[in-house]
Amino acid sequence: MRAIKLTVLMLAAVVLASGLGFGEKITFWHYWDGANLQALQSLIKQYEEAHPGITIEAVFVPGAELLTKLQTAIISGKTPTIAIADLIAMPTLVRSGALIPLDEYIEQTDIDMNDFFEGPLAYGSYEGRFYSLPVSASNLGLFWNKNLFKAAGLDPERPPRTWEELVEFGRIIKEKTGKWGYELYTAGGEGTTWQWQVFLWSAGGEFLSEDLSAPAFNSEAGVRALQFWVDLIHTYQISPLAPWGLFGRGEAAMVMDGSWMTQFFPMQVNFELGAAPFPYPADGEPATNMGGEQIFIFKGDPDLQQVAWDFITWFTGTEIQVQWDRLTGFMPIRRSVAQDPAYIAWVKNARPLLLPFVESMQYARPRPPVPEYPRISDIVANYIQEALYGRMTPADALDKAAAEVAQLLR
Amino acid sequence: MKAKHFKKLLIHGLLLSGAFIAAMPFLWMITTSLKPPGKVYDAPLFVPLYFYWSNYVKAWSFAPFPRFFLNSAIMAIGITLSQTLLSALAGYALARLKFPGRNTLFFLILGTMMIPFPITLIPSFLIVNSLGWIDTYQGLIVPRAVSAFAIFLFRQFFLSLPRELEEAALIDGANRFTIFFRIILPLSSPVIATSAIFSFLFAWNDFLWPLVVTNSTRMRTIQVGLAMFQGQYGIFWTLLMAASTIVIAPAIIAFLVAQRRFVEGITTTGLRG
Repeated sequence: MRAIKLTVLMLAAVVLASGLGFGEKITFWHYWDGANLQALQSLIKQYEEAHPGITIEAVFVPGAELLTKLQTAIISGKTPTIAIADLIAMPTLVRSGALIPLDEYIEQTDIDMNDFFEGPLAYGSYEGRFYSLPVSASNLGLFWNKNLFKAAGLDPERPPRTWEELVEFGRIIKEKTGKWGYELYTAGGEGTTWQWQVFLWSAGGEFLSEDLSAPAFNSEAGVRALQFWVDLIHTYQISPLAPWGLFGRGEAAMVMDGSWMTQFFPMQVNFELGAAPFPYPADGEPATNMGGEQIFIFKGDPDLQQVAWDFITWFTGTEIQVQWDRLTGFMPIRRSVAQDPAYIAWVKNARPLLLPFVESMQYARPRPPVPEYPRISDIVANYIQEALYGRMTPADALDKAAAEVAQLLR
Repeated sequence: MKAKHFKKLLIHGLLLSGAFIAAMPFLWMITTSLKPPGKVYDAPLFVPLYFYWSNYVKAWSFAPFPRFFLNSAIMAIGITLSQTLLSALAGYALARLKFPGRNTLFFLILGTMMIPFPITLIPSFLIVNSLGWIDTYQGLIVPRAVSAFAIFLFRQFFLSLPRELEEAALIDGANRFTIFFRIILPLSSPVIATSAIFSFLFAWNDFLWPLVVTNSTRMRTIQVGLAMFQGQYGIFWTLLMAASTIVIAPAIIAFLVAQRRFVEGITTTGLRG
């Protein structure tokens, strides 16, 4: 009798377990922290509630180490189901052969790829196939310190719109308050290169040739952009050669920084803050640089890949993206998000600092999606520094950088 | 008399300013950890005027820190124990036993100190992976169970011990292990303390290896937890400093405890001065 009872009980348990038993778990590596992490966790919870039986284990990996970690995982075959990575890491990851192409899934699910902004999409495609989708975007703009503008007798609500005004306002601030006019990122590396690209593009230059096979920054526009930086430091003397962070401490009146800082600056600074599209030469064009993350699936169990794809379509869909961008302050990756009334209303009411960044998104340009980009960026930054420290003329520095980059791309 | 006072004052002044310079980063850390976010860059940097204890609560709940602490403690204690014991054994063999190739072996061990860790990262990872040790404590501990530096430290110390002590024990019929555990180790508390401090601090502060061999949040260590405050998009200074203060406390306690042993060791061996 007891044995029968036990068998029945066990049978019931087995039936119950298999009934609920599509318990599938996907792992998701990312480097989002702070408010972004909380936003991600709440979205995942939302997804899990709507999809019982599916678990998404999100694992935080520090951003600086994510690529190392993914590379070791790829070598050992211990990859997560899905992961995100910075735009500029994508060409390396795509060429590793560890990601699955998404084209079939995209066709099956009938996703309107034209709704995505072209810039971020460029990073996920390789040899005519898509390997990743954008999940977040950011761009660069101008922040200014309204208190210093006031103290210098400038209109605190009127940011500079051109390079000429940037210099003019900067000089007035330096003269009247003794503080720096504009803070440049001179510490080298990608921080220097991606800021300089904005100046290069707005002067009408290109970073690489159109087919990405050769450097193009050692042009007239390139020299003009670099000469402008040198002049900011040595001729107008409104920018210092100093470690980054002066703007946050109120020691510099203007700075180029990212859309994400509309979240951080208000928590960190004790002055009134303004944000605007970045100034460009009077005879140039508006431009900004684009950052952000892409999401992708690793080769592995096809069932899990399908689950992962369902999650990705949900996550990159307009409805969730509106929530995501409102929670994180990331820029829209889809036109339908940028035009969404709820999103626009939120920006206007809750995060007005973000408005100029949303407007600049149309001028945002991607950095060249080549796997050599991190090394190219270092080379260019090194030679920019040579020019800033007066050891080379801008034209010389850019020619030398171009020679090294050309060799790398060959 | 006056001159004596003046000298004392001068010495104390010098010592105090030295102590202040050494303590400065810690004061800065604690001060920042108690500030409201908007005041991070404001003076004073070394004296807390604000007391936002909520930073500590926020930092603590930012990630599963109790679990991270447990993991770090298991890893650091495991590494400290094994590095101390195994390196002492190896150091003793290299100092006292005669066998062919002894000096070559010693120089090879020293040579490994010149290979930067990132070079051996991938091969070590592959070995640990093929053993199935990813996401385990043995994966965190075993690859770092010996240390070339500690072997060097022990060997140099054992060379300085008088041979007569061991010879006397040998005559009394003790074997090598008895000598090692009953005679040598009790005399070695200074070098054990030194080596243990280095091992513990190394393990407690280690970042890249624990990150690479753990894939799940539940096996992460505190240094990886601290990295959560230094994001791609900005650094949460007040929270980072609050968490750093919490994280650094066990290391400081370990140092203070070991430091007392260290001094005791020097005074009780009777081998100095």
